[in-house]
Amino acid sequence: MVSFVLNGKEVEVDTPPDRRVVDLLREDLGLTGTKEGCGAGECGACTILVDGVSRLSCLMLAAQLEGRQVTTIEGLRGGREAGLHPVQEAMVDCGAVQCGFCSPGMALSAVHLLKRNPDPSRTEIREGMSGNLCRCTGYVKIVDAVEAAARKMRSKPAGTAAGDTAP
Amino acid sequence: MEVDELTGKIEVREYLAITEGGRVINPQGFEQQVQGAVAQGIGYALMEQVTLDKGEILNPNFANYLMPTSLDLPDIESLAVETVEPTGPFGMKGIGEVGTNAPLPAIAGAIEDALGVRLTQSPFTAGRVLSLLVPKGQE
Repeated sequence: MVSFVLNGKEVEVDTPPDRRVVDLLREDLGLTGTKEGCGAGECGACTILVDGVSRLSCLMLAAQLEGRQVTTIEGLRGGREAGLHPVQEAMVDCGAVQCGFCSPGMALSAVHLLKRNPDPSRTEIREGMSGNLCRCTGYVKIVDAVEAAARKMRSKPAGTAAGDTAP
Repeated sequence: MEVDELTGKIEVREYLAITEGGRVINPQGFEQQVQGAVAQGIGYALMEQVTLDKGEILNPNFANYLMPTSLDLPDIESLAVETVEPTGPFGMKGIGEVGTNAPLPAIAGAIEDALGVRLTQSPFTAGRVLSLLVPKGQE
């Protein structure tokens, strides 16, 4: 059994300890927002937050989640009426989503980036997101979105969801 | 575009795409498609190569088939030359593919402009660029 906090709720999962976290999330828990793009830690589509830190769920094993705070894209909220985190809202408004496959990973990487650096330059954004591949957008509007979200979050700190905790 | 003459590495610093794709119905969508296509074109020009050995792909993964990351691309600016395509719905033509055409020749031309010689085989890897910079037979 692995016990952890998932998107703000305590869960206990009966799983082999070496089950890949991406499989645990997608297959066992039905949270298909987390994507598998490569299974080799190269593309970032499987990005989740563990104790507020962006991690690659395709390279993590279930046992590693024991006692952790885990946030998937489904658990990202801004406490806003629309139910979207500023990063998500900015990605929509800026046209940063095309096929959407990289988007959950991009959003979570951006959340972690902005926690580390609330006022990043475009270069710093590109560096912070460099572990997330995108084939559709050329990254420009994704950088725009992170910049816009950072601006909004600096001026009006949004309450983030239970589960999105900084250590 | 910048070329590092020691390593042969190419960096695209700025990119302006001026695209004629018929009438623009959704300006944000137009820009999305052009930016994405230019990104693919730059990848095609600088780093992407399927390596085959007797029909077997030797680099079927992101570690060895290189595609651009956020650090490999500049801010891509897009301008539309709006014409009206008489055979298209509402004068529209389509914008999904055309943006990939220009980056490869544009970068080849930029290399020639920077170094005075032309590369004729893509991707324009650092090794191929260095082969232009270093005369044959010299270390």
